[in-house]
Amino acid sequence: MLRLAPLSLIGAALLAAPTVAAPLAARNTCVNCHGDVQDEAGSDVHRAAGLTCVDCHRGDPSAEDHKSMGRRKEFLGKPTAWVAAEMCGSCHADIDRMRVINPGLPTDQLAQYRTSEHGKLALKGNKQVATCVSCHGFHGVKPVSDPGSPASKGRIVETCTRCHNPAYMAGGSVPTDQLEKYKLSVHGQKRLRERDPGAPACSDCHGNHGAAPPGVYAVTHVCGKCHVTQAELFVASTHVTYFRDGGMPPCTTCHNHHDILATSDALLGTGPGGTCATCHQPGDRCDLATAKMKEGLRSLGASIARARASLARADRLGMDVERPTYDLSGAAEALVRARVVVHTFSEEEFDKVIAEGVGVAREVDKEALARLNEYRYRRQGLAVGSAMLLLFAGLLILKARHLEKRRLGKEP
Amino acid sequence: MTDLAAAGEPAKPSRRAILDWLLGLSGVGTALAILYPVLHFVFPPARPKGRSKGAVLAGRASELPPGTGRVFPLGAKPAILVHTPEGKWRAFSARCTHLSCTVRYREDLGMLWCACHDGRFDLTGKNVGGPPPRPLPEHSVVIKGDEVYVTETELG
Amino acid sequence: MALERVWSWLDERAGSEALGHLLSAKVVPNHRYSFFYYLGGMALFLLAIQLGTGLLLLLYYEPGVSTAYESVKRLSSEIPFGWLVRSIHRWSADIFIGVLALHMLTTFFMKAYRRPRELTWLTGVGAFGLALGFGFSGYLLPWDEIAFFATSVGTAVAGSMPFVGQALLHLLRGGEDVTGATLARFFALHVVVLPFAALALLGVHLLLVQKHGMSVPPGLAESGRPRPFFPDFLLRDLAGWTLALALLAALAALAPAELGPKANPFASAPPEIKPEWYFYAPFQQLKWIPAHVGPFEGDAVGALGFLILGLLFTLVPFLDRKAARGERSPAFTAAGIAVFAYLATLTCYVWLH
Repeated sequence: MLRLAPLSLIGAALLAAPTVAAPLAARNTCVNCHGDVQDEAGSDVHRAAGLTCVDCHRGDPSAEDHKSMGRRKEFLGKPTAWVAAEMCGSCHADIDRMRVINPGLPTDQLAQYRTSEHGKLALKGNKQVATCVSCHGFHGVKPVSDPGSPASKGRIVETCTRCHNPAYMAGGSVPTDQLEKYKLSVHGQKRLRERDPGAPACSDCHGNHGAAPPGVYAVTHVCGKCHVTQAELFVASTHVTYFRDGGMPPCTTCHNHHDILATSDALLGTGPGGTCATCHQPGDRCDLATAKMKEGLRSLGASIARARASLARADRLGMDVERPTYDLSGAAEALVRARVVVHTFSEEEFDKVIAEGVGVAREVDKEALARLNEYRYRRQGLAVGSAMLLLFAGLLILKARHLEKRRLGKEP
Repeated sequence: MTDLAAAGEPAKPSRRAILDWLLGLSGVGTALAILYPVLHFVFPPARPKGRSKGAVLAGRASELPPGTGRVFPLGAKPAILVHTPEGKWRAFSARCTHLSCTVRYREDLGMLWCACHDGRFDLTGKNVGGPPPRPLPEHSVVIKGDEVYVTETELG
Repeated sequence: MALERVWSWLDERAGSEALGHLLSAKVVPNHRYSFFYYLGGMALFLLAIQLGTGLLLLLYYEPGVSTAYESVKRLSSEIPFGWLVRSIHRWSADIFIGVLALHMLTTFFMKAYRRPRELTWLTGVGAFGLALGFGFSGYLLPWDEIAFFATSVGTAVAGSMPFVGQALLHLLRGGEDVTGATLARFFALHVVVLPFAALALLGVHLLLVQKHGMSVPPGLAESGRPRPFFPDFLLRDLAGWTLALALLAALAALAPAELGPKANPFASAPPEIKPEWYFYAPFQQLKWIPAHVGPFEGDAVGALGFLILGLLFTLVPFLDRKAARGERSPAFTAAGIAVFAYLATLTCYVWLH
């Protein structure tokens, strides 16, 4: 208790004084009592670089007793959130120092942290908020690219939700259902179940050091990082101003933010699950337009299914369906594109894509039919050939019988 | 030729003649039924189908100036032929290694781009941006005059 | 007549009159089992079909890992009636081996192997072995997935034989694994080595058949006079061959030969991989043998077992003393039925699973 007040002063003072990364101290008495920490350290990157306890915690490594942790030795002990950030920042925000130690690492983490929700709370003195060591670890720090690091792609969700869960953050103003919703989402399924690092998790949308919810109208930029086409089309569409005027964030108004579920054609329109119902009435001009769009999607899907079935039949009969199979993927792509073009909110654009897809599917169906006809032609040819062969065989038997009768008839 | 008019021979000589005649006719018919497909088989088909020894005709050099690309079918799968701005010809599988959308060549970016999630591949096929986890498999290119062929087997 | 003048022209130059006498004297015995005499000729016809369709396929097939599969694909889809030639070749291979097996079985049960026809039997069994070799080597040539893995499994089984196993495996595969080298030597086997060997063995076999005439089972009564081969039996033979051709064409049109995806040596074998049907019995038996039988490797015991069975079967003319004396030998008939039932059961088991 006594030490806490002056600690922040000491922390501030330390930031001003350049501390050199000292070579391994001849004596490191800390480990005499805190031996477990040394084991924890293992392959810690700082330890590998030659840093020891005192380089972060200060104190006197040669003293044998508690005098090692005394005030006069400027001991930091277990730092609170903001103090820890500044402690780490004493090296990591120092451009000249980092250029020598590891020029590839960024040096803006502390500056970003200051602007983040976590940083702002830490500055006010909040002790429970996340700081550097909360996500990167403290005694066993690994590079973020190492899958063992809590800040790595494979573990970041686990790390963020260590605090952002109903138990730890109950009663606060921040929602606590993020993980529950994320698990239902397509991104969550891909990241958590299929371990696909390409799917976004917490920090991909919220940032890491400057973590904050993206601004309401900045959402398009965040989602648009991957979903480029949809974002561009939306921003160029008629609806972008309506959303702005209505105070509705783009993308998330229809697709949600943490529980971004797999899309389906039901999202279109004012029916059950229809997102247009937020603003539109059933039967109004736009509702009728979306009804036509849904019909277009259904009919294209049906054309593709029909063509695919015809190709499968031809394939089973041994005909070569390689080229039409390739061509059909063009129709399948048109279906995907149609669903993207929905974001133009333009019937004309949409109809163009649907028409293209249906055209391709029809051509493929014709090709499949041509192959089935070829099969039928073969069967007809077979019938003719077989008839000829059977006739010949029958006549041979007759001739043989005839000759035998003659032979037997002549002999007594 | 044995004597037909021996005693005991049924008085219908024409029956044998009809039988022989029919036999001869169906014999010729059978021979034709066999010869027809064999002859059509033996004479090679007129049009070359743009395929030679495991390679596919991907495009014509005259139609693809440097800095352009073209998606074409390689077997049943999409592939992309690129004429780089430096004048090299390269070919890759066009199936994005993220979720299998078809990539295309973006002249403005000078790289291969996937529309689905903004995946990017440089002109060596390496995944350099967005979610794709692996590079695009490369295929070798063979130029014969104005015709550019791409092999079906992947390189490396 | 013009025909007579041609005939005498030939005789003056090639001595064909003697051949004509031989042919007109050839007779086929008439008894309860006479129908089985058609089988030998049917097998010969199907072999001719294989040679003919095989020659046609050779016009377009290109051996080699980067061209074999593609050329077969081209044959099936682009070449006019390529599908017909390929499918007939494929179906005829199976039917040929089936008919050969039947021919072998019927000659066994009719004791046609007995003195003085031991050599006929030996050359016949040898020809059957060659036919299996044809089937095995030809199976790889399309170089699709199934072909590749079936060959891997088949050569592995050959490799499990005691003592000679490893050497045999390297000989067959042209290396440690199934590669383009395997394809090259299987092609040579299928198109040159086996055809020459088959023609040689078959030539001897047919000459011996003409010399000794058709055998009648010991103790069997004949009904009526023997039938002249030319023209009676031959016409009936021809009719049977025509029907066989019709059957092959029907099978080709209604159930054409398949071509799976191209072989990928790095992919793992599908779990249900099986060899061709004529190898089902040894394949399944090897699966059922425990890993070790006493101090020996299970696979080696199995392979050896089949080898011994084959050897006994080949040497049956010398083992069946009763038949050699012209007597009935029900013991050998019974043994034959037992072995046939065993092989048939195993084959059906694999076919149904």
